[in-house]
Amino acid sequence: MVPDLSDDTGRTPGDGPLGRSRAYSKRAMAGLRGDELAWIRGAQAGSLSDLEALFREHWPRAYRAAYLVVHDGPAAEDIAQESFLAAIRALDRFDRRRPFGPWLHRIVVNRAIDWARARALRAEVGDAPLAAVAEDDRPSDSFSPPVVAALSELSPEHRAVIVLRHLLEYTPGEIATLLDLPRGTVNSRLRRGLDELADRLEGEGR
Amino acid sequence: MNERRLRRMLLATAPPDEIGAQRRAWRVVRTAFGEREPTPWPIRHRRPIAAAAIGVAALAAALSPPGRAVIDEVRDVVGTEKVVGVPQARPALFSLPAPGRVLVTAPSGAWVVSANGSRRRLGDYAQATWSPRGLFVGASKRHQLAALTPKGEVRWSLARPRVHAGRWSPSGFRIAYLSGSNLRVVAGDGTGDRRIGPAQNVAPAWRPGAEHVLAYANRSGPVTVLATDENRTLWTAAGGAAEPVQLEWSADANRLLVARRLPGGQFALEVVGADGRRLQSLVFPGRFVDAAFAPAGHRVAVVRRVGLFSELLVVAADTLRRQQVVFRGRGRFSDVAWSPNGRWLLLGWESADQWLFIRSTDVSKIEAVEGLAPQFNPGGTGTGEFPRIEGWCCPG
Repeated sequence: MVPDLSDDTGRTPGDGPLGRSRAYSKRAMAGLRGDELAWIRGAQAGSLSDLEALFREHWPRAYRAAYLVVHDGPAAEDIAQESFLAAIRALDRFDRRRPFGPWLHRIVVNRAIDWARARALRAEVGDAPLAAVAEDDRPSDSFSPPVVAALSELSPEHRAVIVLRHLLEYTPGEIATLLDLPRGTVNSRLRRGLDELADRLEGEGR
Repeated sequence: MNERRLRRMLLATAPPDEIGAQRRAWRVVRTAFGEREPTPWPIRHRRPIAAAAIGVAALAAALSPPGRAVIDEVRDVVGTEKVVGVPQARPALFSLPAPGRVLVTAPSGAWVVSANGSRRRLGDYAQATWSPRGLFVGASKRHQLAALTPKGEVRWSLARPRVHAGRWSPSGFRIAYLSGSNLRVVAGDGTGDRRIGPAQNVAPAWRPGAEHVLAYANRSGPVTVLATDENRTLWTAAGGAAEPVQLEWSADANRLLVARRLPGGQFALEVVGADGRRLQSLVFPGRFVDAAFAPAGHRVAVVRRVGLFSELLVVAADTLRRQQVVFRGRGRFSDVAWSPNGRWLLLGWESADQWLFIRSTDVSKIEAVEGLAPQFNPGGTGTGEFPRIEGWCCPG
């Protein structure tokens, strides 16, 4: 069951591809490549239905990954949407030998990190009244399980590697390529991020 | 922490209004897809066509001497050939060799590179200019001019049509910019924006000093030097039919360099004195790319393209005939900037995707950094996205 993108009735989060958990590592991409190649070829030739198939396949994880890095629903929506638009603008130049997912996630996660950094900077110069408004506007608890709250305490860079590793299941080597980082940096961020996350989650449980 | 449990928790996290967000995004994406102009087949397949053409030419070269000429021709036409740059280049920008910060623009936006190599993206801007002491950045995109802190915080912004070529005055109190084909000046705090007059598509140049004196390429032809606060023309410098492509003042305000592109693959450099008298003029072979006065004295770094090669020259502006070829390489160089202390030159080598830091007093010392396009375009395709050097400014 997939969400109907053309109307506003019906489904709940968790339906269809939103609830699927296919990983993006090279191993997991193997089954997808045949379909995806056809969709990319079709979209490059102007086929809306192929573009829609690509969008349905990749949107849920792109949006979720952005959300877990920025912890702001509207911002995550903007970031994922802008990333898709950037992908469409570059579609004609896209090298079909490469998988689409990592290419998209590279854009999404880097934009999400930039956004989170910029927000932290804005907070430094003092946005007290805005912070109060934002407090009221926070997502409800149903969208903020302990893991999200704990994740939000980490730096954007640590959140990003954890999301890429444990939500999207990229290997540390693949993450290093996606973020243009040395592999050692990815490993140390993962280790440190997980330690901090575990501390915070245990603290929550006490 | 148990990784499987963490993954389960992450997957169980539902972002707000997941379905609504997906529907809204699809509407936007679908509309954008419908409005895009599909790239014509030959352009979409430019790389395979280029590869095939080069292959055929290589075969021809192997068979006959005239074939070698074909290779050169194809390379020149294709122009996107990736060349091998300086060996043992550093894979990333770990630090600058001299104090200061470099302002860069790329398709991903404007960036500030600190002396320790850290990069900060300022936002989605196409062009940018330093304020005189590097406390602010004037940045522009499509229909907006903005003043930002080097951390990317917007202090003010101004909506004007087709904003480009902004330049911050040395006093810090004015910004000159082009809006479409008009020259405008606004105060450094974003107030008092006004039109100066029609101008050619050449970045204006403020004369160093406390007074607000601006050189710009008047649409009617001559280079005009204007006291902007009184709107009074101080002098004009006619240059025949050739239109200027770049204007640069020396740091002591005594020399104005005017670069003009000439027909037949040549360009001219003219040096005009502070009173408007033309002191020097010389025609150079090749295509003009960029020029920058040293922070002290009258030396000018000039980048030109000659055939399949590009060159960085340092020219004495007082004679123009004393020229030193500092670096020569295959393919395209993009732009050049002096370090604030005048000891280093930063040269963009687009074809090799490298930045070269060249010790200007000792050319034997070159530090190269490669992989610039991906570093400044995270998530990009890595082609045609070489970052532009907007300026190397004062230590922060």
